[in-house]
Amino acid sequence: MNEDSRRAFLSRLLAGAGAVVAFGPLPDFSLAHDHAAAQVNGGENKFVFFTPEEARQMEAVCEQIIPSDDGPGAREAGAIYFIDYALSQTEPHLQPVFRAGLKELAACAPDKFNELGGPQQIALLKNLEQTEFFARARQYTILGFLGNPARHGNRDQVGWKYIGFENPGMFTHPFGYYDAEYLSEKKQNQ
Amino acid sequence: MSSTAKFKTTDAVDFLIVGSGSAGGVLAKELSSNGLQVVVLEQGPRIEPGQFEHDEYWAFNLHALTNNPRQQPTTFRKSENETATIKPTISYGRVVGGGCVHFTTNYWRFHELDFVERSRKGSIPGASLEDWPITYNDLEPYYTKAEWELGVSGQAGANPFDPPRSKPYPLPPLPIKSSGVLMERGARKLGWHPFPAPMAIISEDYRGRRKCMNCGFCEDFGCEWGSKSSTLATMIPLAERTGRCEIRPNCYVHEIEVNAQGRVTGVVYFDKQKRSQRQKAKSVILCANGAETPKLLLMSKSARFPDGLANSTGVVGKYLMFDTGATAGGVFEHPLNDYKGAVVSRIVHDFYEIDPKHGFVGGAGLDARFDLYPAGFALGGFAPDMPQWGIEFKKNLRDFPRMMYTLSHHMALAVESNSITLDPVAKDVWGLPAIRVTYKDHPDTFKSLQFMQDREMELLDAAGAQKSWRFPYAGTDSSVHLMGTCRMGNDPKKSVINSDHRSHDVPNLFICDGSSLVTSGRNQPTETIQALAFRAADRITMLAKKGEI
Repeated sequence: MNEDSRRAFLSRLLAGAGAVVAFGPLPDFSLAHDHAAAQVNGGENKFVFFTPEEARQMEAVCEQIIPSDDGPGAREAGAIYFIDYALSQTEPHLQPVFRAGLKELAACAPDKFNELGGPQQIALLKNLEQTEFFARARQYTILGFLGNPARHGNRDQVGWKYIGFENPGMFTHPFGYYDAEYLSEKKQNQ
Repeated sequence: MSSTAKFKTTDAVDFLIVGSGSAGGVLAKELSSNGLQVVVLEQGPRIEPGQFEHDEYWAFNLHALTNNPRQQPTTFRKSENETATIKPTISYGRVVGGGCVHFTTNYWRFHELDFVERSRKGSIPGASLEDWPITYNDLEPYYTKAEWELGVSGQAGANPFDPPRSKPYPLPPLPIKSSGVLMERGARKLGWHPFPAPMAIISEDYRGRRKCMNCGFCEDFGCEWGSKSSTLATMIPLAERTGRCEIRPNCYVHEIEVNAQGRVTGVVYFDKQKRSQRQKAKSVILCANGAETPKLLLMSKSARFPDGLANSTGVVGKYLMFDTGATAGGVFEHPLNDYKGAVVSRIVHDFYEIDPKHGFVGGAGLDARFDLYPAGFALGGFAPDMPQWGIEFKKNLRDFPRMMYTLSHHMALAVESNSITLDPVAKDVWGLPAIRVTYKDHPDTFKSLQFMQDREMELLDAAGAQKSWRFPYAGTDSSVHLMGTCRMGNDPKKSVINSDHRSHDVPNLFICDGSSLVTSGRNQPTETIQALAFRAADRITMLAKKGEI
């Protein structure tokens, strides 16, 4: 963390540091809902922004950011579908970052990125760690793994289940081990 | 709702309020209840509680409740001799209800000291510390009023450092969370005095509103239950029920108009369709926040006020104070599940005044919290030297239920060169000048961060953390608390408004929001902003009734 305003820090975590700022009218979010409906009503695995080849390469990047070795990862969460949704529906200003990044990735890989071995993929991505593309790829993979499933990632809440988060809209107290312990000690002392 | 007033733009209403947030919502309710006509112009849309979502992408990336830096860019620089570059620097509530719709709800009174710190501590090199023209005792009845009118949960007397109060909190504290239990254990071992955090969330049903359901989506989200005591949930419906108040959303005010006598006659704004509109008013009250208020004054240039309105001595926009804090994280043996419930349940005020023998002037409050949602936790919950992607990173994500954070809230010393000005080049999508922020922490404030982070590491250790880490900082360059830019005072050379919130230069122009603050307390300004708003409403009503505006 590079600044000490935590609230501002938190809001920038997700929105990105804004190294590339494009101005212009904002997209109409009602389109996003149409997109959602189209995905749910069929053609679920179609891409609006990515070409099939770009989607294959992008998904291979997502799988290195959140692998599936020890349980569902970015692949099972469908993070790529969240990214396609965001780029095509709500944040089209980010399209050039991803398109150019995938080109750069292809240019520096000896073979197709998705066909390389894991260690080779990791080494290539480490070289790109400081790029805007990698920062955005990481950010949007994480959102696609742990965001609200209404945005087409985190399918079946696999990300939330993996980390131990639930969103029922209400909870009863106690919430955790230490507050439960505190309450039972309090009861005993009464 | 059927009695909600509708005014014509040609009606010269008694009061036009710019901004419907922490202060604007309170003033709208109070003035309309006192028989006065009020139009409130709000930049953002009106989002009803039923439309609030538990969706990080919605809140953060789509800026559903806050200003969008793509539409309204800001520029930043550290000192006046640098050229500012575009960078998201400020965040504010941009919906009906303003910032208190999405605030964490920490609701701390300032202490007596905060109003007289200059007299107590003397001149501090590099800082422009001043006393307020009012004291804690002047504001105490209004702190109490804010707590009871809005609905605040807390335990009077639990904090040995608390200033005197005339009445307890109206509601008992919210449930203690595991982070609160751990803070209590750790803090007591260290000889500190932890106490239940006062929070603007109702712990029991109150005045027709439903008690908190512990959903966990407080900070940066709106409360769909209406249990968070935002002005949207409390003041605004009451204001509308008077039949004398119109809340008009999607109105971006960009000029305050004055006549030949130097009196305000109304404002010019863009409506939702970006058409220019002009609302007449007998008086104007700015409650637009510590960045948008000075911006609007600086944009309101005229032959009579060539440097902007209420700015004859050049003070508008100066003495900006940002929110500043140091944070640390810890992992414990058992699950805390601290994402459930309100963000904070226990705090410590032992360091409200840090002993000057440490070599700096400063003070801070400290809380235990969990303020990250799943994606935000993965993006920023770990120290930078920990894995940020790949399998080790993923495995660490499983610590989510076993984690808590600590966060300190510091006095930011006012510095004259820390300021809001208009950027000479950058514009927003309406074609208005971008806000330019110039900001560098006072060296003492910076030292106080280091001091408090050391205390946080001690606390996590004493509480039994298995692992803990610091989040490094390099200086404040962004903020959600925007304070001090039109500060209150008796001397027009050092302040913009008097103790009645009336601008020194323009008799029928008032300002009440974070910009009014002379000092920053310990960086939890909302209760003081709202207490000031209740007090300002009394002062302004009295002036209006006596025909003195």
